[in-house]
Amino acid sequence: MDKFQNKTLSELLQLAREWGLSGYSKLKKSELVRMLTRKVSQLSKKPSRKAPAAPPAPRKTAPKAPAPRPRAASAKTAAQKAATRKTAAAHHQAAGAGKRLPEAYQDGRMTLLTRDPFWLYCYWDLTDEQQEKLWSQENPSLRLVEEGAGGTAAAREVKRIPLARGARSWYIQVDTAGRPYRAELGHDGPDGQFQPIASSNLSTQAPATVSPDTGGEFAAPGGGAGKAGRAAVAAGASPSSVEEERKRADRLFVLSAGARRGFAGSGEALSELAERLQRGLASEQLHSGAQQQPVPEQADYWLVVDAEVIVYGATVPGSKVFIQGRAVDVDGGGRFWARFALPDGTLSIPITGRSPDERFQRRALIEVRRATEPPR
Amino acid sequence: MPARGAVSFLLHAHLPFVRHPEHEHFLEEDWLFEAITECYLPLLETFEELLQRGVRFRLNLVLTPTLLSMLSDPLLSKRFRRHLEGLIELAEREVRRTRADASLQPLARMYRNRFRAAEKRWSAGRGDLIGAFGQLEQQGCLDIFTSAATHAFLPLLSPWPQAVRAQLRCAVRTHRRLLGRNPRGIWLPECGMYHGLDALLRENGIEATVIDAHGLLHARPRPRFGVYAPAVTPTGLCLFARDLESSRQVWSAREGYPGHPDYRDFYRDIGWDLPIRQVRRWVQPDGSRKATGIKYHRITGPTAHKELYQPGLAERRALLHAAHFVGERRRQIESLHPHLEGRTAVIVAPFDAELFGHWWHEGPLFLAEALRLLDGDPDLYSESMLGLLRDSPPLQVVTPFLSSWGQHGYCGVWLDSSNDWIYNHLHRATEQMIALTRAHPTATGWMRRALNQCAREVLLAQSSDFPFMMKMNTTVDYAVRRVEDHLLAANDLIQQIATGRIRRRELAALEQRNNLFPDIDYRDFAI
Repeated sequence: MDKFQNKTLSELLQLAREWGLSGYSKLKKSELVRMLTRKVSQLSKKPSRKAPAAPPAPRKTAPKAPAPRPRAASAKTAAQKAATRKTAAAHHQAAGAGKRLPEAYQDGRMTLLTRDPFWLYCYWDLTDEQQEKLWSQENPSLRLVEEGAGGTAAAREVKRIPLARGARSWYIQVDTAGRPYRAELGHDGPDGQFQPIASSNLSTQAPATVSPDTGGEFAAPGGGAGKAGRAAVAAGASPSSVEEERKRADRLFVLSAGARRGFAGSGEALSELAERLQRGLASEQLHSGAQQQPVPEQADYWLVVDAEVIVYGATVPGSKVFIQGRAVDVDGGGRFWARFALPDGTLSIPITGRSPDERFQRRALIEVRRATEPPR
Repeated sequence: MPARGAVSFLLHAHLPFVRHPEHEHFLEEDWLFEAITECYLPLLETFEELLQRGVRFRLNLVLTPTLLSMLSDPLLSKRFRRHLEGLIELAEREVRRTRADASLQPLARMYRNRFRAAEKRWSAGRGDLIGAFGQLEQQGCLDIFTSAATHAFLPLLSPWPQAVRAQLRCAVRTHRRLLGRNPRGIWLPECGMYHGLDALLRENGIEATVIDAHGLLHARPRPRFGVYAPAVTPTGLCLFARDLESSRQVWSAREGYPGHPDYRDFYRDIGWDLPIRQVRRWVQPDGSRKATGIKYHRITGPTAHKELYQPGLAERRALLHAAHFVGERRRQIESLHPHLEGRTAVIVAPFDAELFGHWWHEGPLFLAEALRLLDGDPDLYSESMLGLLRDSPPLQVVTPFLSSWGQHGYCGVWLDSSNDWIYNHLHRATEQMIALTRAHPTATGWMRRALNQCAREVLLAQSSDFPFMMKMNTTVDYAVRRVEDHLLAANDLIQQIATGRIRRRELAALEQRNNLFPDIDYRDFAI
């Protein structure tokens, strides 16, 4: 096919990679052209949206040179840091040699992970049949349900998210922490009823607040195996009233949260500290030498700012779009999107679009800077 | 009358499994060599010296299964030896080079003497660091904890309890093989706890662990004594919580001790500073530079200009900081005491062991002085967690939920746009491993070897270190390659096992390369 003959070898390799082909890296140009041509004819015979198939044929991995990079860490000089920085995207570009993992396995799995009390992450790897079913519908969507207590009560729908065609994962925000959630992929039926195509596991619960329950059962430590060795014991001096008990707990809570000494646990300040703990701020700067987050200097004032960047757009259907060097899915209507976390520093997002016939190319650049002032 | 407060230090010594026999020199293997020279040997000597001086102290040390595996590996020991001899030679050259420089000469001598001493200690113990730490445990100064087999962040494996069990069973077996006893305590990788994990830990004989402050504060019911008393889960696992105030004094980039201008600067290193011809043999084979371990400057301040290191000044500062640390703990327990109903306030201070000596050069000295001061204090003492449980009053029964010590306190560090792509692959290999185990309950011969190696590759791919490097944007190439290599190997083996056609030569080569956990049992993945 002329379309491929006119390309350079590296362009062909790039194409093969984007199409999820395997075993291409050692091929000669003519062999590559044949492989790509075969792929195109397969696609035209089978109009369904086919993600790349089976794992790559086993092949010996080429010996790899050690990465010539110094060990990176927190307060490096700028030069050393620059020498170390390399994004995963860049890696995917660079590591053309050797075997790569397949893009997908198409075994119908759908997994829901709890990221934190207010964010879940869901990914799916659908079979051909499931994909056909899902994307051929008018309103493909992701539905989040809260499972009823003890699995007996009916599940309650929490939200329904319309999906961009070809999406394979999603971060889902929830308003209520600490509940057991399940995710489903599907579409609206004729009566508005949700028609599920795939369903996930139940997510791990993550409460974000202090428990209202102040129950005081005590047990001897190391009391043998599990419940057998457990004996309820009355606590030391029993508090004279529930109110006193609560106050005591409040004070220890304030002290536990790393508050400065002498800080009185007034109700208001307490709720701020609770908030700080909810956001995990109390711990964030403490993780390791490699993290240098600013510390809230004073317990009576704090500020936290978080941001994520969503890039979206549209182009001629059938075009290619690369964001940060990675090909993104362009749906049948020509729409595309990508989502980025935004840590402190400058996030650079180069976007390149190529027309279906590769004759036209256009670039755009988005740069976002996030600078969090350290506390004074 | 019990003491008013106990400080329980925990040093978490961990490195991901890095071993590349296929290369004569491999940059990332330096992580282990640097940690042995700058951290593990100095810490060992610190403890031995305290013991000799009659200081009573006890603390918790985590030796993760991957670190134990590397410390007991003959190839890596041989390479460490070569590395250390090279360092001594470099230091000797430096002593000659700085002959005429009165300010540098003593520093060069300091490094030479230190490396020679490290060589002497290493040889005296025949390179058996594990045995030396085990000895300290027997003498009652240390309690050695384990961790998950390959430091997997367990909350993101929670939908597959079989995989979590495999991590734990393999860890316990490795600990027993190399330290001669079952571990009673565990450090959860990244402090990652989730609802239900306690039962799996108890199944494996674990009695105690540490969670982050909010992990305990958000437990149900609300803990009456905050983070200052251990609690126990309904299945009998004792929970200690990290004290944020003492952590901050050491960890924090702004307020923390290690950033003081008097301390040695980590980043100025002759590997970067000297003309290339003088250090060519000590940087990378292709001539790219790297740190050698010889560093002549102090932090000085937030400037590019660095003053020369003054050991005396740094030592005094470390002693002052230790005194400050203990003084702060004393004041802390004074404010806690009225609220604890006569209980001993328990202050748990966990740190990465590599902070002491590697990042914070003076860290071991700080620790020694803090332990000495605690021994002499009327109200405070140092104690391990298991020690604290021995004569403990009854503990409150609580149920913990999801928490970690990562940024924001949950799973965001190991699950965000920089690394979320790995989970589809990782979970698929994990599920396949579980299914294969079910299909082959009694494999023998080559089939068994293939299943065992597949288990190794799956476990290695689960290491939390790799998504962490991707998130932190450090050595990303290496992290991506490691995850891919282990998963590709696992996927290959899965296919071979499913079709019953094992490619023996490839398998044998893989066993040679990723040779950790010789007594692994793939059936650990069975429920």
